[in-house]
Amino acid sequence: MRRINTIERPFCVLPDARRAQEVLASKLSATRLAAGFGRRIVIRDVDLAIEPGCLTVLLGPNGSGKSTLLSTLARLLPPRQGSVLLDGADISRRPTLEVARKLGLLPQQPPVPEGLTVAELVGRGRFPHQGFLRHWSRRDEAAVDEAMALTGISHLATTDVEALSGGQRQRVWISMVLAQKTPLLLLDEPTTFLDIANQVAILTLLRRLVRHHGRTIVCVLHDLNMALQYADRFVFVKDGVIKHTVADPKQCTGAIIEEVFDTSAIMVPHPQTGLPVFLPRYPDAQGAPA
Amino acid sequence: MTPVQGAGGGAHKASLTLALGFVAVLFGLHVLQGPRNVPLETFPALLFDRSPASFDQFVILHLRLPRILAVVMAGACLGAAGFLLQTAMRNRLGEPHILGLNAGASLAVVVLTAFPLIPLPVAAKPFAASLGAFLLFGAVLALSAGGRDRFSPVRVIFFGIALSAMANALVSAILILDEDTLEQLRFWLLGDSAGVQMSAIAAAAPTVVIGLVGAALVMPRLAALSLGDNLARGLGASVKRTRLIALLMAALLSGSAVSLIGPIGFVGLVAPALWPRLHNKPSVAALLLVTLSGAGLLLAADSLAAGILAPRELPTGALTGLVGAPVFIWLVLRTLR
Amino acid sequence: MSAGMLVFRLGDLSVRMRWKALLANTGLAALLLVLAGWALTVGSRAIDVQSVVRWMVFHDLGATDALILGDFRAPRICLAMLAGAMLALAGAVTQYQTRNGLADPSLLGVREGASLFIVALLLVSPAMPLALRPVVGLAGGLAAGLAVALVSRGASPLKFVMTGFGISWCLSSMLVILLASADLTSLQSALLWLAGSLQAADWQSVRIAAVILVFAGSVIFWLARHTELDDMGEAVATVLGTARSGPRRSTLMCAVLLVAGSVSVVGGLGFVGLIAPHIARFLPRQSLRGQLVASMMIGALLVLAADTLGRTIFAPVTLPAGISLAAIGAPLLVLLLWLRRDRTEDLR
Repeated sequence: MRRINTIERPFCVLPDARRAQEVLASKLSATRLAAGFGRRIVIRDVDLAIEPGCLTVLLGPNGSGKSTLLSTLARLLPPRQGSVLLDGADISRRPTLEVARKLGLLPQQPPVPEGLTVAELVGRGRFPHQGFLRHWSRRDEAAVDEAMALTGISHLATTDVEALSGGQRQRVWISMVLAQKTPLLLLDEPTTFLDIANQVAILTLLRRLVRHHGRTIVCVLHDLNMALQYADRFVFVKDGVIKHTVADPKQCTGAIIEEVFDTSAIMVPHPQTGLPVFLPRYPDAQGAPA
Repeated sequence: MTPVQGAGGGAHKASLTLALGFVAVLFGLHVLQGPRNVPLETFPALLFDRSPASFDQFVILHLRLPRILAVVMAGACLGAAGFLLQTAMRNRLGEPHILGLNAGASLAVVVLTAFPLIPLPVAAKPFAASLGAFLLFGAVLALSAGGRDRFSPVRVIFFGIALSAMANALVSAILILDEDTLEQLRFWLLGDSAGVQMSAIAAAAPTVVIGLVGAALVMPRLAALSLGDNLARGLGASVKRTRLIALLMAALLSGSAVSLIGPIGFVGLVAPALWPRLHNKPSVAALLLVTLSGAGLLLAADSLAAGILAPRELPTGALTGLVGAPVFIWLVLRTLR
Repeated sequence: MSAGMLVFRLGDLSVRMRWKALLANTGLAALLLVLAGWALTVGSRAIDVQSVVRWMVFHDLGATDALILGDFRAPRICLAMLAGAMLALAGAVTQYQTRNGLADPSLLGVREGASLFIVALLLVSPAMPLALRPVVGLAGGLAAGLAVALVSRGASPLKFVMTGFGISWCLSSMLVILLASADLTSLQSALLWLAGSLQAADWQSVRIAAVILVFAGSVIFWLARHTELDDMGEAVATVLGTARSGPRRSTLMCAVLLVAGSVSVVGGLGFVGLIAPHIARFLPRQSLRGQLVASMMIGALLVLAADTLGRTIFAPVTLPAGISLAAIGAPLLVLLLWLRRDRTEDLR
C-alpha cells in the first residue's frame, strides 16, 4: 500500500504521449442539462465540459444532485432538457455498445452477482468488446489481467466475489470498469464505506490512471479533504446547479466551502503537500468537542 | 378489558349487527332460490302444520335447508380458520386454501374413500379431513422454518402452494386409477354444496363446535401474540403453545369445512379483510365478526353459483376463487414491502 | 486467468467453455439419450433393444412393432423432451432475469392464461386445427403475463411473484367456471388436454413444438450475452452496453412463447420450469448459456422420466404426465429449496 508521503503534487496536464502507455482521449460535455426522476427535476442548467486527462471530482452536500448528474452524463438517465455530448455527438443517439467502449461507470453499491469469481466479474467488463462468437479474445484476456494487476487483486482471481471484504470488492468493481478499457471513467463515490487505507489506495490508483494511462476520470467524492489532495478539477454542485468550477485545489477557499456546504470552515495547509485542508469551525464552545 | 378494546367494542357491535343482518337476508333469499317456485305459505306450514306429503315442504326441508346449513357452517369455519392463521402467523395472507390445509384435507378424504382399510363411520370424516389438513400444514411449517427468514409470508405461501400441488396430484392420480371414487367425489372436489345430507352436517357439527369454541378461548392469548413474540413472552404468554393451539383449531375448522362442501378457497382471506384493522386485534368479538362474514360470503357465493347460469350450477369454489384472488393481489400490493 | 477454461480461437472468433461444465453437459446429454432409448423399449408391448436398434438403423421390423415405435412411442418421447426443454428454458431465463428463484412463467399465470384461451377456443370450435393452438395460447399467455407485469409494475420481486400467484388463481377459477358451463361432449377433449397428457402425441405436434423451441430458443441464446449482465443491476448492465429494455423484453416474450407453446401441445405440465434451473445450479459453475443448455436437458429428462413412469407403473392405466410430474416434482422442488435455503434470495 502506498503511503501518504508518496503523493505527488497534483497539477493538471494533458497526458504526455510518451509517458502514457496508451493515449485515450474522449471528450464529454453537457449543455443546458436538466434531469430528474418522475416529476422532480433534480439538476438544471448544467453546462459542463470534462477536461480530458484530468481527475475531476463532483463535490456538494447530500442530495445536491451529484449522482444524478453522473447518471445523466453516463446516459443512465435521459435528460429533460439539453444534451450530453460524447466526442461532439449526442450520447443518447449513439449506439449503446459504441458508447460503452468510450465511457465506463461504476454506480454506488452495485448488487453483487451470486457465484462469480473475481476474474469472471472483471471479465464482464469486456462485454462491449465481445460478441456472440467472440467470447474471449487475447485482448480480452490481456485487458482483464492488466485491470486486476492495476488494482492489486491478481492473487484473488479465482476467489468468489461474495467472500471478499468491502475494500477488496470495491477494487474488483473498479477492475471491471478498467477492463472495459474506456477513455472516460465515471465513478460514484468509490471510497464510501472504506477505511482510510483503502480510500488512499483507491484515490492513488485513480490518479495513476489519469497520469500514466491517459484516462479521464470523473468522480463523486464525499470526503472534501481527500478530494483536495488528489483531484485536478473541482465541480461544486448545490441544489442541482453548478456553483463553482475550480481548476486548482489552492483556489478552493473557505468562502466557496461555506457557500456550498452551508457550514463555516477553517482552511489550513496540509503540512506535507501544502494543499488546503478544511476543518469545521465550531460556532461556540458548546458545539466544540471537549 | 383495556380501554382500546372497550372503544373497539362499540364499533364491533354495529358491525356484528350488520353482518348478522346480512347473513339472515342471504339465508332467506337462498331458501327461496331454486328451480322450483315454493310458495311463501310453505314456511309457516313447516313450523305449524308439517305434512310429509307436501312436496314443497320436502324441497325446503331435505334439499334446500341442508345445503344452506352446510354453506353457513363451512363459511363460518373458513372465516374463523383464516382469521386464526392470520393472527397466529402474523401474516395477512394466511388462508386455508393458500397454505395447503384444504389440499391436505381433500387428500385425506380421497384416500379414505378410495382405500377403506377400516370401515369408518361418517362421523369420522371431518376428523380425518382435519388430520390431513394438520399434517400437510405441519409439513409446510416445518419446511418454512429453515434458513434465514423463518416463516416469511412468501416462504410459507410458496411451500403451501408446492405441497398443495403435490397433494392435488396425488388426488388426481387416485381418482384416475379408481373410478368409483371419482364418481363419488367429482363434484365435491370442486367445492360443491348441492346434495349435502343432514347426516354429514350432524357429523361435522362436533368438530365445528370444538373448533369455534377453541378459537374463542385462544383469542386473548393471540392478542398478546400480536405484539410480537418477545413482548408476548414478556406478558407471560407461551408463544409456542398458543400458536400450536391456534393452528390445531384452524386445521379442525378447515377440515370440517372441506368434509362438508369440499375445498373452497379465499373465504378465509376475504372475511377478515372486509373489516379494517381487524387483523392485528384478535378478540372474541372480532372472531365472531369474521365467522359471520365468512358465513355470509359463502352464502352469497353459493347463491350466485346456483343462480347465475340456472338451471346449470357452477362450482362454488370457482366463484370464491374468482373474487378472492383479486383480494389476495390487493392485499399483497398493500401489505408487502 | 483461464483456469479450468477451454478457449478455442480462430481469427476473430473465440469460444470459451469451462471444461467441467462441458463434461457435465455432455453427461446430461448421454443420460438423456439412454433414457430415451429405454423409453422406446418399455410400454404395454415390450420391445427389446435389438429390435429398437434394428428399427432405427435398418427400418426393418414387424409391422406392429414398427407402428408402435414410429407412430406412438417415438413422437411421444420426442414431445416429452421438447416440452420439458421448453418449460425449463423459459423458467431458467426468467429466474435469471428477475433474480428470483420462484419466477417461473408457468407458475405466474402464463400457463393458466394460455390454457384459458385454448380451452375457450376448444369449447367454441372443437375442430380447430392444431397449429392454431400455439397462436391462441400465446395470446392468452401474453395477456396473463402483461396483467402480472402491469399490476406489479414497479413493485419488488416479492410482490411480482405473489401477484403472479394471485393472477394464476384467478385465471384457474375462470377456467373451472368455463369448464362447468360447457357441454359434456366438448368437455371431454378439453379435460384430457388440460391434465397435461402426452397420450395424443403425434408427429405434427412434435413439429409445432420443435419450431417454437428453435425460434424462441435462438432468440434467447442470441440475447443471452445481454441477459447475463442482468445480475449486476440495471445501471452496470446499461453502462456495459446492453440496450435498456429491448433484449429484456424480447427474452421475456420468448419465455412466454415457450410456455404457451408447450401448453398448446401438451397441456399443463407444472414444476419443470422451477425445478430444472435449480437442479442445474448443482452442476459445476457455468456461463448463462451453459446453464440454459443444462436446464433444458434436465427439463427434458424430467418430463420424459415422469411420462414414462406414468405410462408404465400402473399399466394398463396411464397417468397423465402432468400428474406424475407433479407427484415427482413437488417433493423434489421442496427438497431443492431446502438444500439451498441459505444460498438464494428466492424466499425473502
